[in-house]
Amino acid sequence: MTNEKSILIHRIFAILISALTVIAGACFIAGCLSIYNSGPSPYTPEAVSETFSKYCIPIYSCAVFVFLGIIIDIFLPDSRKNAPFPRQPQHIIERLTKKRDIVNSGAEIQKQINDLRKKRKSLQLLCLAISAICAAVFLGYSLNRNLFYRETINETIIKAMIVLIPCFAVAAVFMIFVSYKCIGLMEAEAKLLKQCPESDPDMVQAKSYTWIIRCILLILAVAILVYGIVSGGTADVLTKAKNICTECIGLG
Amino acid sequence: MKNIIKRLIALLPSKRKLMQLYFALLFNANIKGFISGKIYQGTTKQVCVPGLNCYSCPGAVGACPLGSLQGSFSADKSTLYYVGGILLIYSLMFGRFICGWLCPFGFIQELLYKIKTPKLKKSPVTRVLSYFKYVVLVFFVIIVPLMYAFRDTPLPAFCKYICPAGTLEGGIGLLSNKLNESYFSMLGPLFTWKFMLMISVVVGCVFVFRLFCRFVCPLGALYGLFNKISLFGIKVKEEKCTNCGLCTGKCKLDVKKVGDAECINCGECIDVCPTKAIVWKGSGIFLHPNEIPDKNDSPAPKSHSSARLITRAVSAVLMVALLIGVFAYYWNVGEDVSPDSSIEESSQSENSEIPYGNSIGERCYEKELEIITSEGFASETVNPAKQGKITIINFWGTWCTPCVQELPYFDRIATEYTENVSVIAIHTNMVSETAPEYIRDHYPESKITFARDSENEEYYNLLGGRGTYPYTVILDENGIVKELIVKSLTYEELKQFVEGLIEQ
Repeated sequence: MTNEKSILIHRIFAILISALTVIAGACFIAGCLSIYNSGPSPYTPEAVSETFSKYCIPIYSCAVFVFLGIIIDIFLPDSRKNAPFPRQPQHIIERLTKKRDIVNSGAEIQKQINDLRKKRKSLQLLCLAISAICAAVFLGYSLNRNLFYRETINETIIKAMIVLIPCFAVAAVFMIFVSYKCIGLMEAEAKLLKQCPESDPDMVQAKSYTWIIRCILLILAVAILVYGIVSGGTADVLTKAKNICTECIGLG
Repeated sequence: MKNIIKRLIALLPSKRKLMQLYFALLFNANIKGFISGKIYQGTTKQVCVPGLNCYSCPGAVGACPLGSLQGSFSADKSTLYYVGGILLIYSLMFGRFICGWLCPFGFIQELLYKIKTPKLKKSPVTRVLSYFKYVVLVFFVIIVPLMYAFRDTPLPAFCKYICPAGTLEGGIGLLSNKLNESYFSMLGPLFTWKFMLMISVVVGCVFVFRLFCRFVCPLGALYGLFNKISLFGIKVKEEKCTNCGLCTGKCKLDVKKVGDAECINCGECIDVCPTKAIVWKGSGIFLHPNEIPDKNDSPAPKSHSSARLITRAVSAVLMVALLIGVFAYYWNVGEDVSPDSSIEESSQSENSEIPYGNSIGERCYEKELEIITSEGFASETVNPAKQGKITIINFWGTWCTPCVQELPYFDRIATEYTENVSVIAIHTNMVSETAPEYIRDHYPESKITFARDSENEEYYNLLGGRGTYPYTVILDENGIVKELIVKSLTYEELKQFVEGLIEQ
């Protein structure tokens, strides 16, 4: 069979099934309205089956046509589906090729920049974690005075210093080390960025804002969820869900 | 023959369709419900599924997020925190990835779109229409339920007046079972409106891609707000993008840019991009990077492709095993409540002529139920089957809109026919803490005897309740069941029943 004939068959089929679908839908709606207008307590199983049996031809024909459509697709595939993607005008192709070449040539440098950024971020995260641990130790110790309380005030102060100074020292040393390292990494990054003008440093900034917003919202979501569960919020949800909401499903 | 096989293979569903089918089956794994005509009432219904799946569907094993959100406005604040937290987590994790991959109703719409008809393409008109779902979200999901919550009347406005998923999955799902013939008596103007709306959406989806998702779905509107910051989904690498517009041209939805609030993250635009600027989020970490193959690149070693094949095969087997396990679990977990043998034995000794049961003509089961007053739960009890006069037993809940709306009629009957009629309103055992306050505010001097059902709604199930509220049972003065009504009643209908029994 020629392409044109195949396309014609598909078009005729499409129009027929469109008409049947609309007619079947209209019949369903008309049936429902006629049952409703027939009087009090209109919806009985007998009334429903009697009314819809009058409209069974378009409804069943729809189902038959759907299967027919699958069979037509198997034996007479629509050749328009396999048509090549429309060709772009020449100037767009040139622009795309040029962009791809720039991207490919800058890819190696971009990779190095990304590696440097990853290193910098990892160091900063590690610094943050160590500072947090030191702060937690200091707070835990200082809130529990029995741990460092001694008979004389001098001994008390000395005991406290023995705990505080290492905490501060560790955090401070690490922060200084990470700062110098980060400065070196940022200088290297800046040198590479000069060689790769396509990369956009603002994009990195936008990405970090996105992550900050995600983290804040996620923590908030988990917190309110846990609070809701602990306060017994699941009981109401279960009550609504395990009983049939008759009005929700149109039974009313 | 080879051509036919090739064409058959071409008709096989894509990965996304298989995932949609998988999750549709997973969220509706209670097959027993379709056979018994009852909905699942177990504890997994505390958890909201991510997509639009009516919890009144006989197969549903989780709660609907939209229905739960609307219900939470009239419930305790903790419910709002719980539902809000779940919705926020889903939005942040997946955004509209849920619409494209996890939503059962979206799956149904895409199947309907496959029917071969002329299709309505997107245009500036459809773009404008796509903003209508935000109106639905704000008005029907938030404002109207909130307004009615301030009046102590729970009203899930979207579910009640619009949701076609509820009508299709819940309404048609329940009505198509012969055991639920009594539900036909409940149908009225609301059913006619919702059925027409559902048919319009179903027919419309044949011609318009995802008609409901694009123009009406408030859940999609909510998830769309978080689409750009969600963890899963697709994104455009700006450094590679040439703004050629091939991606938005290919997309059937009203996107202005890939990954915006209209994008359902189906991923069909990824292959279209000539510079491979469209990638899945996290593809640098988890997935094979989406790069333009260089001419000088050697092909990937065979070990990589076989490793990937094995991983995929193992994942598929595990997922299928999980699904089968879930089906087996819900098939075997029974929620049937048979009459308590102790109730039956003690009842039998009194009068063995008329058997005890929950059908018309049988003697009503007897049980002592805790009375609720406006001060709280009293130590006294009431036995609905031993009142010695015509007894109207109404099962209700403060969380149930039609129950709350018909209570004034029961109050009126109780007042006008005090000598001949006893009205007992039995609140569900679950969430009964709200009942004393409700009674204090609305029925402080009522002649109705308010009581609380026993644990797991035992008395409701004993009297033949099938999960619908309100449910009314009318007994004569001898405790014989005269009427079983599963719909909400008007004053005239109640009066008719009562006067008919008084004459007898």
